[in-house]
Amino acid sequence: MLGGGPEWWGITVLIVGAVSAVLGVIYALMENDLKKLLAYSSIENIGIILLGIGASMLFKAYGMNALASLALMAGLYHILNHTVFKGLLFLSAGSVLHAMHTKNMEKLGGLIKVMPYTSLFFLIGSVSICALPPFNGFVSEWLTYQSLLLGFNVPSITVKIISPLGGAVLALTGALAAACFVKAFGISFLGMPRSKHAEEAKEVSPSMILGMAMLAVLCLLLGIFPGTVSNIIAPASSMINGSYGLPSYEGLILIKETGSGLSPGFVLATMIIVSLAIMFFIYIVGGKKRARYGDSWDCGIPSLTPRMQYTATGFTKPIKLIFKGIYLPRREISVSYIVKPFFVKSIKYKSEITPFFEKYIYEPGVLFIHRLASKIRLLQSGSLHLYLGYILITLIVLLIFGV
Amino acid sequence: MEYFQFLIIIIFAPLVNGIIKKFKANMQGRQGPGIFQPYYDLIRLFKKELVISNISSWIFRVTPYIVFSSTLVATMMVPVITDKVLFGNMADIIALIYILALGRFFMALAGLDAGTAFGGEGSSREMTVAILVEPAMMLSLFTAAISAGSTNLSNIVNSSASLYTRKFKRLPLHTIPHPCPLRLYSCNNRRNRQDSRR
Repeated sequence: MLGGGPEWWGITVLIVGAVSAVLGVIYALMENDLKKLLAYSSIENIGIILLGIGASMLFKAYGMNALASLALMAGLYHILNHTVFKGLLFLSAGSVLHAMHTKNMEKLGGLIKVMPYTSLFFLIGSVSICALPPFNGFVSEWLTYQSLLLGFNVPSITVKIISPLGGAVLALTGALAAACFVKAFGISFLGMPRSKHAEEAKEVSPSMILGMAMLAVLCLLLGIFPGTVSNIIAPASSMINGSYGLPSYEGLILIKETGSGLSPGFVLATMIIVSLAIMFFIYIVGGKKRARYGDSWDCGIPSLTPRMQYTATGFTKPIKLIFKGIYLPRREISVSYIVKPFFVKSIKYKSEITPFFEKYIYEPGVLFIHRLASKIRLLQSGSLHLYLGYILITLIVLLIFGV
Repeated sequence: MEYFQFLIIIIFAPLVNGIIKKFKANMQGRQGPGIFQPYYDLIRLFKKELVISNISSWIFRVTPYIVFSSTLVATMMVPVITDKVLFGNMADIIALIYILALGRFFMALAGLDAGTAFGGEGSSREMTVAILVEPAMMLSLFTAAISAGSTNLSNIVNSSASLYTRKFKRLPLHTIPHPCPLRLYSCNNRRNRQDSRR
């Protein structure tokens, strides 16, 4: 399939990838279960991979082998990156589950104080998956952007329109993913602990930390040595699509058709130097700084409680309202009174989104198969006489048609 | 020249901000602060003491450095008075957006770090606005990138500058309204050079 085919194959893969990327991350945003959120985000990343592969198929269909090879490399690079950072994120979510016995974000919070290593690794994984420099996700998304933009060179109006739109979808996905992981990290690891468990959690064992550390280092290395990595991937993509020499010098990748280049390592180094310069500058202008510690502003109420913090549901509420056509949110409020309407006994508030695919595609399918199965089950009654009868009938039928 | 450009941007950016504020105030019939006000504000802010919440973690302490340094790195990528930049062929328009996004990511995290409702609200708002703005901004940048055939900022500026000089050789370029001031600067620059050669 990757070896070529008509134009519409590539377009189909591109559209499926774009839809999958956006819907995956949109459902990830609404999830308050840490592991389910990561699972939905896998759907998004596979969509991004398909964008690269779809672009590759399009180029192949028009005989642009070098560009096809570049786009396939973007897809393969993202597969590699996704393996590393999603592995890292699932391991750290697993550590949280191990220490807390819950995956529900609304019960976490403040874990960065009690589980410093796990939090650091989850942060590295989040920055990588949001495709922020200098970590690895950025390189593969950048390559995907480049291949989608190069789609404008294809002599077909449809492709010229669809491929930059694919880029816009990728940008939307990136922004949604950033919101999603700000929520995942910020609500679970920062702020005040939202439950007793979160207060008393303990850091996981060194062997678990080591496993996460290796993947975290790999996230950084895959990010700052894109040239080396693309040289490793290049033989695989050129085997299918003909050669493409991505001129790369360990830390820098350069696309020779356009002269666009990228070096996350250089960005990282510059940022560190600039930060040191700022510290020096502040020291000169402001003199030696002594930090004063105090409680967060509590609006004059004697003490701030964890319940006053922003919740995971609250964080994504504006997004739920913007995309309500997709989420189809429902809410129920039931109030029970002691004396109507003045004395309220309790208020129940329930808010949920409609899981469209589960409700309208999977559930009917499952129901249909169940019904069919219960009809077929009549055949298997458990009576030996009936089975002997089946054999007899089969024999007779075979004899009649066999003759 | 490109080192000079970086310094010029850093030194004059607050002044531009001050002039815009003054202009806005005059448009609304107000006196407004002086155009050097942003400099005074910056000096005052740099001298301020640190007050840190007990609830917050190291994220809150590193965020200012990440936001500031990512903004400065972005500055090094943007050509303003010359078509060359410090980052050379690494000055990429997509990288620019994502470096700024890195700052925004950490700013939103710092908002959640202090554990108050205000911080959470700000951080939620920031990410929501980013979702609405980012695709539109990317599409408009793609327009420039596609017409230049490259996402490299120097190449984009060069190609649009040559386009303008070819089309509007005799027109006063300052009068042409254009959404991207970056282009206007560069084509003025290019035009002046050509004029002096003639």
